Amino acid sequence: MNHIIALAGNPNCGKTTLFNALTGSSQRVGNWPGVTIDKKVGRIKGTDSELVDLPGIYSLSPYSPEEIVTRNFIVGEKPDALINIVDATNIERNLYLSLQLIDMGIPMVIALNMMDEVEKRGDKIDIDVLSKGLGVPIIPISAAKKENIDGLVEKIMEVADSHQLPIPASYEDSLEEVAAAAEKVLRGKVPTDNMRFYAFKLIEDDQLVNEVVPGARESIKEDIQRLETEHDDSADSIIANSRYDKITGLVQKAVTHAPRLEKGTLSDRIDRYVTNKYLGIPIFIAIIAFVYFLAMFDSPDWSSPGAWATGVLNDAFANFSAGVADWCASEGVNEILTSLLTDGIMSGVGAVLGFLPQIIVMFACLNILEEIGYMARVAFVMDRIFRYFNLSGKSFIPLLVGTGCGVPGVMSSRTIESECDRRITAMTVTFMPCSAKLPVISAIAGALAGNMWVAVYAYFMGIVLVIMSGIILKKFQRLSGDPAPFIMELPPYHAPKVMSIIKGIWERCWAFIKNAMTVVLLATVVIWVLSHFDFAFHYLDPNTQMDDSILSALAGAIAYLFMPLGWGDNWELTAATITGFMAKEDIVATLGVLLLGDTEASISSISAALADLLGNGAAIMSFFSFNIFCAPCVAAVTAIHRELGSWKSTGLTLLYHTLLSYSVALFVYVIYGTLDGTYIEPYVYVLAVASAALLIYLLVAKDPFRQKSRKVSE
Amino acid sequence: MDSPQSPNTQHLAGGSAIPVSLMKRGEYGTVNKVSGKTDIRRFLEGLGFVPGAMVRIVKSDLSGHILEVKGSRIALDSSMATKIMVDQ
Repeated sequence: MNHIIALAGNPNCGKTTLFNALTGSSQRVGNWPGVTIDKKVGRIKGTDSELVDLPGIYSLSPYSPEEIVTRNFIVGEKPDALINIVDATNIERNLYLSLQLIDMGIPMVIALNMMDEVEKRGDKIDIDVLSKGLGVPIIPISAAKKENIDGLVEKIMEVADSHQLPIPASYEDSLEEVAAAAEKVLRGKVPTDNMRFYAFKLIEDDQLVNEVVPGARESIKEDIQRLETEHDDSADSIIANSRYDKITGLVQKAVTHAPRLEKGTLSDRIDRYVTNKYLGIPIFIAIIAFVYFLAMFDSPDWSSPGAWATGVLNDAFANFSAGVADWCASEGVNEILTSLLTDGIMSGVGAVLGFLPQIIVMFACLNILEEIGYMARVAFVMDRIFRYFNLSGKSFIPLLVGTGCGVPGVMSSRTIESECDRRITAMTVTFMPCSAKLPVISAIAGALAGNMWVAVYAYFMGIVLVIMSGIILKKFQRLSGDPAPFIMELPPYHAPKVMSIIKGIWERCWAFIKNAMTVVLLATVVIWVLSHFDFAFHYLDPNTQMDDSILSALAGAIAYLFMPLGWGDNWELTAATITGFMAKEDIVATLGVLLLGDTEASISSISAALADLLGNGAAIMSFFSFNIFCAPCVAAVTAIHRELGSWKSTGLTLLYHTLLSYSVALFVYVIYGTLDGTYIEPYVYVLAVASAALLIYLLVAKDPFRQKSRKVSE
Repeated sequence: MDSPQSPNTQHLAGGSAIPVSLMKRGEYGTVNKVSGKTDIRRFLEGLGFVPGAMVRIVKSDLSGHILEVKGSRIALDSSMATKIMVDQ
């Protein structure tokens, strides 16, 4: 029979790993809570049944938005059966959710995960005692090692086919009396199957039940008050305590702990250092700088692994391109077609693909940091700074995800509890340098003599802009509000799993390659056509006549806008910026097509061409700053729209990005240029001072948008 | 700051209970009471902060607190840590 089966459990307890093992798919697994932010569906191998992976929750009292997704699915969609995955190494806390799921009245099996860890510790869990005590079948498994997955599938199918319901735990009499009274009031008004769930939720004064059955709680008010007086506690706390008491009793009977040394002393020490109030942030900065160092550092004497491999790959591309050009010449291939192949596609796509090694090194490092559990600590460390500016450290997780790709970064803002913080985070995640921006960073770093600090600047300036935006945006009535308190489970430190890291790197690389072969290829061809033909569609000589091209006219028209940033009248730069909206790699691809002759496309030559074109470091950094922080690519804009829900807000977000990045580029140009002795036109200083004044006003003024005072006067 | 709203918070410092924020690292305590807004209190209950639960302080300074409860580590900001009352 085909069933719909839901997979529910605590955050970070191996749910996605089990989902992958059951369905054979390869969803991303991470070592921080909240990797699954939307429900995912897959077919259980060897059956016709669907498995729905739900975001992790601690209880059925929803707190953050992704917890609401889970609860609504279980309550509203009524799956045929439920796999409750329980982390055996953290059994008490996990069973708290199990007891609530049991009350749902849905056929259920507990998958007791991480049994290999339990055995390694020397602990013993008596499955029979636990299963009888809970009234649910329990199957011990190890999702990571794919142990006993078949046994789990068999059991869940059996339970779903026979509609075998779990037996709810019974609590002390006084609570059960109130529950009975609640069931009486609810009879006929809620589904009979879920009666016990609704009854307890009614006693807990849960919003959902109060909406479904208004006034019901009123009619059992006396029973509840009696209970509360008897226990000298609120009803919902009494229920929570009863559940934990039940669990504690059960665990004492079923679990034998091996004697162990004073627990987690090494973990403790690491936590004390990396979250130390003085050291925490410097350690984080040092680690990120080191990651970029490994990925990009390049000097005549020594190159980092990433930079070295990038150089090798670029040489290979250049040779290949030269080979193609030679072949075309010897075979007498049409001059225009040769140019399209070498000068267009090879220069553009090749320039982007050449950066693959750096992406591999960078994501190897970032994935390792995440896997061992460090990144979750960073969110906690950053919370102190973010909270100072009225934001929550929770906003930091999407920023970390956003360094991979802005799209999942924007989506993971859903884990943030407070609505204003959620919206602000979704609007600002893309300030972070994503993997598509890495080629841009490298090209610029190359133009500035292999300066890897360009990357570190991009990373931390991104964070600064997020914080600044938090301050400014919170002054809008709609986005104002205090952040939710910071409460986050820190995953245990563990050694990184090689397969998982390889999978993470592969995923990012594949996305990068796919993008290069589609969006970048398309943009390259379009840019090549527009830059190699004039309006009469005559083919132009790429070395001398490109200034007469269609693109030159189009991009040249808006080049004036960027003159204050020191870009001069170089229409190539504006053209690159515009194509960056398609995908950020296109910036490098476009520069490749436009700036390089038909010889070779490689990092050093694009950098050299850029340095040659602009002539001074200030202008290079200003070009970089605008492109790295301006409106994100189309895919990210779509993601932002999905989170914000309206095109008006999305449009305003893009406008905000553009204006802010323009100001940043202006400041960078003026400051860098002044220090460097570059001649800057006086009007640029005026413009810079004016936008600095505006920015400071927005940051400092209490009500710059005249919203709060208007509200008062109304 | 959120003002405590639930009926059980009026006598929160029953006996010798102190906020967990005042405890030093390495110390142990038993949760006596959790105060604060209902939804946050329930969330903390889901994480294991219920009366009687043993808490170990892994780290505690001005920048925040890391507590170990029921086998997992929970990071809290300072204002949250003042809402969890423990018996030493």
